[in-house]
Amino acid sequence: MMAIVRPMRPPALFVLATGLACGAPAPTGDGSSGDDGSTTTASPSSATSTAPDTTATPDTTAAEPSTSASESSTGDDPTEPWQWDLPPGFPEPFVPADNPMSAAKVELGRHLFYDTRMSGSGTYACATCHLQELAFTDGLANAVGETGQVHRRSAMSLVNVAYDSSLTWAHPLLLELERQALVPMFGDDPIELGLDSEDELVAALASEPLYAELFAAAFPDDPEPLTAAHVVHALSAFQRTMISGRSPFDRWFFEGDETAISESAVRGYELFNGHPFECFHCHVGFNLSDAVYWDGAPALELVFHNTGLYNVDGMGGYPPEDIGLMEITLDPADMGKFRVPSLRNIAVTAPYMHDGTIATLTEVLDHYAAGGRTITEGPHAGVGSESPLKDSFVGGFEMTDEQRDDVIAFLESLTDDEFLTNPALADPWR
Amino acid sequence: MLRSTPSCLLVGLVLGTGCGDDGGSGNDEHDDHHETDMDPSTGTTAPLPSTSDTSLDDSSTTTTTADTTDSTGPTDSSSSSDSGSESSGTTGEAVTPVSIAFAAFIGTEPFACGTTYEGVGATAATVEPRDLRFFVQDLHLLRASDGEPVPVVLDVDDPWQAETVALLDFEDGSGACSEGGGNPATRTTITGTVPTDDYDGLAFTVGVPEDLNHGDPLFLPAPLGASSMTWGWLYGFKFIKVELQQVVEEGSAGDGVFHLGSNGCTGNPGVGDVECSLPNRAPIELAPFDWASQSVALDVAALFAETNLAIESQCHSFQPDVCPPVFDRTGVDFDTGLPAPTQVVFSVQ
Repeated sequence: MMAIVRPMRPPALFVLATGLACGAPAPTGDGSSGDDGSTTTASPSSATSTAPDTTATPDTTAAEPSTSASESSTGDDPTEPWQWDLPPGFPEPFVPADNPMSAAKVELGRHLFYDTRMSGSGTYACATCHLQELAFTDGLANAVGETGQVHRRSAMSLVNVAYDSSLTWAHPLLLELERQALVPMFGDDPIELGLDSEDELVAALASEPLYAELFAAAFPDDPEPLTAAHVVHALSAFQRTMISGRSPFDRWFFEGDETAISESAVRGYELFNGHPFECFHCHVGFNLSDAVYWDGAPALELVFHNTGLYNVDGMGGYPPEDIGLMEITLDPADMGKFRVPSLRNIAVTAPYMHDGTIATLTEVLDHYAAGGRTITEGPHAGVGSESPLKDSFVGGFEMTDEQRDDVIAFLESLTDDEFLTNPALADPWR
Repeated sequence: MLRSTPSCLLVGLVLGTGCGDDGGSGNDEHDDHHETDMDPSTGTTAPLPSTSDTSLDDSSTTTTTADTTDSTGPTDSSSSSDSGSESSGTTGEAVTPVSIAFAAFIGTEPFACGTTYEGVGATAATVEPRDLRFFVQDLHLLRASDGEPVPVVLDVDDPWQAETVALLDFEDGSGACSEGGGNPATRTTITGTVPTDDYDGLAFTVGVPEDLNHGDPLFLPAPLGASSMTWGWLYGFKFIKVELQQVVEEGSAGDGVFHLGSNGCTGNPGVGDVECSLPNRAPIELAPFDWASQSVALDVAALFAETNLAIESQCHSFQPDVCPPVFDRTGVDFDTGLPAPTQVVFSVQ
């Protein structure tokens, strides 16, 4: 018997970056990537004063207009090649070879995403914890599973999940939605959707007459298309359409719409991308994250960072119930490391951090300005800024209240209302 | 449409990080793929445990000899398949079909969902089962003439057995077992064939073979589908899932949970190249053992003998405060993930 390994990402360069904050995908094509480490060179050359210089947009391909915000494919014919309708500056997502996109598959996935038959109790759907209006988070500090179990972590946003180089808050092996889906579906520590077997799931879905049609359309070559594998494939295809890149910031940056964002937001953008704030080292590129991958990316790089959120033992330790990447790799150097989330729609995804322990963006900025969070009492007491495991770019900085407001204005300009209200991503059962 | 260049988006701000292409490229240690253990002559499984973790030859790492004096357990009659029947294998060698019976106990009583057991664990708690299922790989009979482990070629028997792994399932979904992802079906034997010969011992490993453990459950053959035995977070399977819950008249109840699986796994799953620093597999050797008349007994009470079941005592292969004793008793060293000579859970009945 041969091991069955689905072809996933290409085996090109596989880097598990450790240590430095700067594992961002190597900039390509712009020819201006400096390697001198000077942070000042990274300040926005184009966005001086108030007006964005649209000539500074990446290149002509990036400026290619996206004609419509509506969903991408042109029809329901699954044999018709899928066409992405991508925001400016966005590359094509990587799609596993064995799960090509189709409109019918996406539509099936949308029904499944919002269907409570996806849980053991019939009360929970993916959408229970991933609400569109909250950028597919749930507004809670700690997610709650179908049995009422309170989870240690906060439900992640699914915004631009197609581009995440790895999935969940910190996992070096969960690289594809098709594998990640098994964690919430079948996992029991914690219980999320609480499914126990493929047969149970298939039987529950078969009770809905509409699925006969939807599965047949999505998997027309399969005489018995209602399978657990197809459920996961369809869910993954749908999630890959959760693409957000048409915020006011994008209209300002790509289209030169000077009215799109406030002067405060422009100043915040400059602070974000300059010294001494240094936010851009990790929150970089089209998805404002260094943990991105796309079709044609030069390399798959997995990057995780410790931001000094905890220092419970003076040695950089995180609370034992959640030590981040180290839980998987068992490597002490990975203590407290997590993946950098996208900042797109960040203003609607409070509370923040992997465990939801920071309530507002204001407090998030205070944490980074302090170079790490200080907790004065309780079992998690410690001075994060003194963590020896903290990323070198979380160094702290002086910040006035006005500067903080400016950065928050910039972050708020990343809220993409078109995405948050896109009917193609909404509950089809209503 | 033309594809844009993503890293150029926030032009100026993606630049100058000074280190975008470093971070330890070329991770050579992940280059060696696991070979599937195949016997080219027969297409059946190769004899010995795969790769690095264990060796059945090292008898010092295996332990429990049969306690044949203990007569409390029933002899499973299903084990007595006709040892005299022979058939011809594809190579012309005479083979004998075998059926290895397993039986589960909590102390001296047979394991049964919906039944209450007293005096279990370090604090003599009253408990009820919630789950008991496990995978078996590398099943061998020990040849009487020289003690050599001879692989049992497993029958492919959906949904219980693939060529290199079998699932045993003692929960029937009744009582509290309905809460652990249970279902009515049970399975207490492993069937296969061996070359016709005299055998007087047994060896097996609780686990899923390394070459299958990290595959996509949705595309693996039974018994490895997506289920309560899937361990998505550890990118593999639960080798064994044992759960008890304390029965109390009032107040909060404790429990005993043991989920064993390979841990510390890293690598490049895109090419099926994942390795685990803690394999957490150990061979169990039982001798003397007569497969035709005896069965392999698993004692859940022995597993949790040092565990306080009046509190939450959950070992998910991580917890340093709960796991070491149950690992030891299963014959796995918690710190190294390697076999340890401490196995007391399995014996001969």
